[in-house]
Amino acid sequence: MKTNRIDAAIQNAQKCGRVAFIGLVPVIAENPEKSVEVADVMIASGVDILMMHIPNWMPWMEGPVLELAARAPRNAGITREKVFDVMRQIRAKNPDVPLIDMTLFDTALTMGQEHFMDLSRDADVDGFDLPDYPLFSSDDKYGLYQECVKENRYLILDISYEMATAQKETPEYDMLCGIAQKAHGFVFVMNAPGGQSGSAKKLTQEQLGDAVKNVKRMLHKYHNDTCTVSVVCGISTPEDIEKVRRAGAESFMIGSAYVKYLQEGKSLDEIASYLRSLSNACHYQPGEGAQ
Amino acid sequence: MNDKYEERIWYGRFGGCFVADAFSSACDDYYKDYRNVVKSQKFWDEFYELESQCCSTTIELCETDDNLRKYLCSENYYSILGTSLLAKHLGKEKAVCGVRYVDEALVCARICKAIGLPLKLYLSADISNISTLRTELNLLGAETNDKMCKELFNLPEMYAFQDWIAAPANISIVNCRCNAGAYPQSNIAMDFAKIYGEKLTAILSKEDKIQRTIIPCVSGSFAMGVIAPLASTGMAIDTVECDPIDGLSKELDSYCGTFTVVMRDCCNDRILAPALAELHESGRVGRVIVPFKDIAETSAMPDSADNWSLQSRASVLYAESKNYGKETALLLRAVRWGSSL
Repeated sequence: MKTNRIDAAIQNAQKCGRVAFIGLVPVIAENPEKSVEVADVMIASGVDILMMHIPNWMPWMEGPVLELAARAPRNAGITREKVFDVMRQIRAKNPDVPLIDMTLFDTALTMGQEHFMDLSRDADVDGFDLPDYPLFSSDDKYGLYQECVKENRYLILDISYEMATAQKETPEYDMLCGIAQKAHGFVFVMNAPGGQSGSAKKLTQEQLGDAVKNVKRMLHKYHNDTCTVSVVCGISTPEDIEKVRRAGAESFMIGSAYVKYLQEGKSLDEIASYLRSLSNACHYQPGEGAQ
Repeated sequence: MNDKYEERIWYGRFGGCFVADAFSSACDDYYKDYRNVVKSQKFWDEFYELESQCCSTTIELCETDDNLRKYLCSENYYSILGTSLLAKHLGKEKAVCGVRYVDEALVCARICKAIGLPLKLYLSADISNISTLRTELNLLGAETNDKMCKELFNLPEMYAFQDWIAAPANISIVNCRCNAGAYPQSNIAMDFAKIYGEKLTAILSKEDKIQRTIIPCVSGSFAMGVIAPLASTGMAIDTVECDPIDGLSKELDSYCGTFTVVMRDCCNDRILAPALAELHESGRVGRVIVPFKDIAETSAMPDSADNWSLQSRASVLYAESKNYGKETALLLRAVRWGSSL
């Protein structure tokens, strides 16, 4: 079985002494093909892993910036099939870059799960970020997790602060154990309550450090050390990335921060400059790094 | 875990949205707390006192002709009442609610004021520009947010849900309808909404020989709130919809399960509210869609129809076309200001 590109990208970042940078590719409503250009700029500016934003029409886990980014394509009549067309173009241009679907599970259901998976296969995606997929509460009733395992694509699982720091013999702790056993690639530790993107409410350095440490301990307990930890929600500055580094995570994800700039009409050069400033903050300082 | 509520792996039998595993404990706790609270007689005493004070239900026979018995029915506010009072009994600091209609916004604010519960209301874009409504809501002590629905998605329930999921220990969600929120919320809202149907069933059961009920439908809550108890009597049920917006089903392809959407496309949307789809598929509930143009062009509507909702007019038109006998009850609802999903 071939190596999943997500593992390769994170390992490569670690070898280079830095945290990996996961970036969200938005759908540009006025011209979806421009999303391919945005992806090129992201890669050239230091983004290691691309997540494609597949707009959902009830995006309850997204903050205002990504909701606007979801609404604009809808109003412009851009179908989800068209978004996958963009993904295929990104894949064709970047055969080695990890690509992840980011949406809600009901996008897959309303498109038809099989159809959704077929389109994802066509774009040769490496993973799925479907935060509302009820893996444990449904015991994978929809079979998405098993399908991912079979095809060596990763279903990214999410961990709230409450779950990451849960005491033994609580439902949250049990679920954390389950995630530690089943996760592949990386798990997302949410840096904000409610898991909303672009949140202004963030965990403190100490809270994030505890959460990351506990999750890594649990992954180790279940001999799943190949699975790494990523931090998501409310990351937008080099200081936030420093927090991620110091917490010991291997990667972080950013979306709202620069999607907002695109919405404000900033040029791709300005976006590139912003992304580079973040990318420069990815290098571990002495005493930092994933344990 | 699975004995806590039916089919929790769906959105919920009455609609709602999937919730991340990461938040499922909050949902489990909420449902467990709800089950405990409603065991208390004190809760129900307060519930019915508030009902008489803030949102009395009326179901009155208003016209009888050779074919039909027409009942004018008030709206079903039991979900609002029940979930607001639940927030108080759970000791929450604040309630949050998404509203689409003027009347439900006012009812929600009145109830929360009566029970001393701070309330934040997300107003749909359609009603947010009614300045007198906002003034009235502010006088009732409710904080209002109209920005999100105007600038982003016109989904007030979603914004209320976001607030709740970010702080479930402090905030409680008030559900106007049973099709919004996570699975326990939709089930809880439905439990309360059914009280309406039980009242209606009791009234119709006293009448002689009513064998069929025609129900105008907009939302799943009104429909299911009425249908669930009625269906258990074995009575024939016809639901009537009229949708003036072209292409609504496509637009709503991933919204929560309104009755309209579920019934329009049972196969694709059955996951949204399996309880509705099952009743339809089993033949216990008939589904009728009356084209808007039929209503716009008809000259057969009585003058009193001016006060009825679009779906009620559609129901009258449908009932008359079927030439049903006097054993048929037709429910009518007043015009409502706001927007359905």
